[in-house]
Amino acid sequence: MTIKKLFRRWLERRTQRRSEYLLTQKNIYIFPSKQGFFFLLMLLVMLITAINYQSSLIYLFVFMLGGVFAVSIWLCFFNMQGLTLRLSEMLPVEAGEKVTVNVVADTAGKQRSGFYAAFEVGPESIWRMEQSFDVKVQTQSFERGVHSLSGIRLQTYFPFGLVRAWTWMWFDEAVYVYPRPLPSPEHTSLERNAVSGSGQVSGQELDNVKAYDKGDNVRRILWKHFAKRDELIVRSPELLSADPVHLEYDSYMHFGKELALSYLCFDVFELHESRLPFSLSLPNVRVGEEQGELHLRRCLRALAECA
Amino acid sequence: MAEVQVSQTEVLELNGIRHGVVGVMLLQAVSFLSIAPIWLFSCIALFIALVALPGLVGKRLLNVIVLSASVIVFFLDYRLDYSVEMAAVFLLLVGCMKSLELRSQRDVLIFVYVMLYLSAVSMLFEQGIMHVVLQFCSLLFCLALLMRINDSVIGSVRSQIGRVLKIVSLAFPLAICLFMFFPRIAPLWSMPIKTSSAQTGLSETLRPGAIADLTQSAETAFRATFFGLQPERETLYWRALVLDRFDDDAWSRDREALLVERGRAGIASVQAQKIYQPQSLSTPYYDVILEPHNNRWALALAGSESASGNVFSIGMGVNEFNYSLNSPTPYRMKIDGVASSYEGTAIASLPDVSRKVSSSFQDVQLPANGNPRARDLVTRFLSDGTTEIELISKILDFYASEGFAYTLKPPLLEQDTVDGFLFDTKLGFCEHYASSMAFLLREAGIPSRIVLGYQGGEFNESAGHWTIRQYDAHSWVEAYVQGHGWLRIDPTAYVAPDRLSFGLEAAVQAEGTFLQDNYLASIGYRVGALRWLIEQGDAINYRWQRFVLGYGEADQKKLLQSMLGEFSWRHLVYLLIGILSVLSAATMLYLYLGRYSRSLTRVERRYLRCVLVLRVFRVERLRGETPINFYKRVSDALPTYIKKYLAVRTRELHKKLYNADLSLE
Repeated sequence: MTIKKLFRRWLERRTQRRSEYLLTQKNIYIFPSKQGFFFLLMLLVMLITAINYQSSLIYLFVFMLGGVFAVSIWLCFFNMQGLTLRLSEMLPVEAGEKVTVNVVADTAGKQRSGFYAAFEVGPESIWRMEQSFDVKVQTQSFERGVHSLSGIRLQTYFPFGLVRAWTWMWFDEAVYVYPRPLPSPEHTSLERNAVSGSGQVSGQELDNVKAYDKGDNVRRILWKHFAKRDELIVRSPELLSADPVHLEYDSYMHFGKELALSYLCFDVFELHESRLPFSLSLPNVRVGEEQGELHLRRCLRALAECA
Repeated sequence: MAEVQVSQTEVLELNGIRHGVVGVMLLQAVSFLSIAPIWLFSCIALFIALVALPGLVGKRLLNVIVLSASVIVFFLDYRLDYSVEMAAVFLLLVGCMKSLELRSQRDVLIFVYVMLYLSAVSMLFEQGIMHVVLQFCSLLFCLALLMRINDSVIGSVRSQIGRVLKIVSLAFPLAICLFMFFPRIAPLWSMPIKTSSAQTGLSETLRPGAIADLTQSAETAFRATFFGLQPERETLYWRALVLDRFDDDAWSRDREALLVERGRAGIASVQAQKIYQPQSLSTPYYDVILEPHNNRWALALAGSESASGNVFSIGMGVNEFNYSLNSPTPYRMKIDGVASSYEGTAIASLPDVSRKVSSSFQDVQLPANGNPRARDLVTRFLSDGTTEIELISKILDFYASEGFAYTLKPPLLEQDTVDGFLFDTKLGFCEHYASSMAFLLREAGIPSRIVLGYQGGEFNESAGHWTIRQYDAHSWVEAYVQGHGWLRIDPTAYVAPDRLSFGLEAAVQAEGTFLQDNYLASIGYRVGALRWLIEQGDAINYRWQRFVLGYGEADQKKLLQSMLGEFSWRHLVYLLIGILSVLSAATMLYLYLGRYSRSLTRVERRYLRCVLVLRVFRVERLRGETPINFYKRVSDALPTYIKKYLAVRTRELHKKLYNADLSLE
């Protein structure tokens, strides 16, 4: 156990964080697996049988199996060698949720199969590389903030399970963990701002809505309403041209930092859902008035980074 | 929800390995046909049904009943009477039982490893080509099973076997190299094979009827190849055992004399079994590969001498091993010449076998009473002062003139068998003639003994060796005559001369008893095409035995001497390492360049391979770089011939993708 740990620490020191890993003889590690050692033990017993009974045929059989073992070492190595791995872009993650990353492989045109990918913490994912070039790997949950990923281990027992080849990768992608969104008890921020605009969307008021028609944008459906009343309604397009909303950290400041950020986060999602342009002011950053996916991500990152 | 999914995939996985498991079990069952008892096959059939038939899978109670029943039957049958066979059969039983509880990867692993070891164990008992083919198939199935639980590509069983076959074929050169050059070591400790089954072959006592039974078997007893001489069929008297004790109407070996002789030959003091180490000879010699007979005796022509170190002479011209043969064993005997018969008679003088007079006068020993009529006959023969030689011819004339006949179905004789045969039935097989003649000679005071062995054989034209089968078993007499030494006398030759010139079939043709009880073998012997096939199969098996099974230290020495001019262990190891590294490098290069996805075209694969080769020159294609850009970027840094190579590949790819000619430069 300690040897394993020492080895891991040595690996971590000699491996640099990178955004892309090309697997070569420098970063592929290969060693017989447990069952491989049993296989070798069995070969030894067979060899002794051959020697003691002076049986040429058993000699030949042992050497045949030995040859298979040798070839499986090379096959195992070449199954990994030449792979290029990177992460596809990471979305901000909610605090307390398990982080899942998407590892993407460039197989260099070669057939490869039988991979297992796993974080140091988290379940192992089987990667059928012959079917898809990417795989989702899960790790633990984080607190709000910006975190770096722990190592990902990719390993293969191809072809017979006698030999294990593996590699450790520390990707340099940062994980932005935004606070868990909580509805504020006061609605202060939204309500106060909503006075200047007409864009307040609370559950009961259905001013700027109309019944769903075929062809309406699905993203404008008020799903909450549908869940309650079982009728499909959409926000009318006029809402989109409404005045921007300003989300201010100061308005929640009295709840304490983490709670304030959580309330802000809730508001950010609400506004994003209602497709309103809004701005976000935090102690040291300000995200300008805009709307859309990118804007949302920028806001979430700001919330994660907020010190 | 998640748990349900896991168990579903497990079941699915076991469905996928079912074919392999059943295949391995069937193959092992077939290869154990001659070793395992019959009941075991019904057990294995049950196991296979429980594994493969959808209605029976997972019936726990049924499994428990079948398992415990088979274990009980096993112990009832073997009663803890340890032998290697029992151990092998037990391993087979346990391995097959494991197939009923394949629930996890680990279970499959245990099953596969047991079956692999079983393959090796089965090779202790059988070494023929057919057995090797069976075990090779079993190996493929085992590896396919391993692949199925470790590789995510779950293709059809057939495609998987194909992939395994590819890998095994890559391992083959390595295996051959190791086989040829891996130093052969003397046994670390002796592990005698104790077997319980009776094998067909000569027995150590001669009772009337013993050999006649043997002649119903067409199994190969041994094969022999002569170098430097071409003997005639009639002169091939293969001696195995000398019987010099007559008691209770049966001939047997004198135990005490045998032990003394073994002590004298030094066999008793040699513990480890001796290894085949043939000398290279310039004088005539012959090589024998003896099928296992679970006894120690070796076959030799009179006047030959061991030349391979694993055979000892124990006096009376008899040779034996210092252990019981349990696998086909080669040995070499040197010989000056084959004892030839005197013209027209069945008597031959034997070279170099002198009479050793023991204190008990074993070679003239007879019981005090019994067979009075035969004793009278001898007294009558001797009454007119005949010499020893004359007596012998008188006895032979007696056989020729008194209406004796040669038959494989002699009538049963009760007491005083010699009398009964000589004066009443007059129908007999070689053992009757030899037994009665030796009795008459001893009664006359002439030292004599019975020799058991084989006579003749079948010459295989295509392979150039003699095949001697069980039905060639024979017995004859040797008598010591002052002034002539030991003489070989074959009374059978007097009664049935065809037996010597044309073999047993011709001798009993009229009777139609040749291989009568062995229908299959007799068809094989009679139908021309079949007989040709059998002969070819025999030739292949012979070569297999000679060059693969018989391969050992001596052959390694010879090979190394022809390659390097000298032999030493260090050279052997250097050569082994050298050849292994060359082979490994070749295999690695092959794997490095190969295994491109099937979905790519041939041209694409060739281009990728070319890009791979370029990495030797520290040139790498960037991600997303077009072939033309790549060429333009790197071509100037490359040597001309490599540049040309890349240009050809790039142009080819361009032509393939865009159907347009590309001019680089």
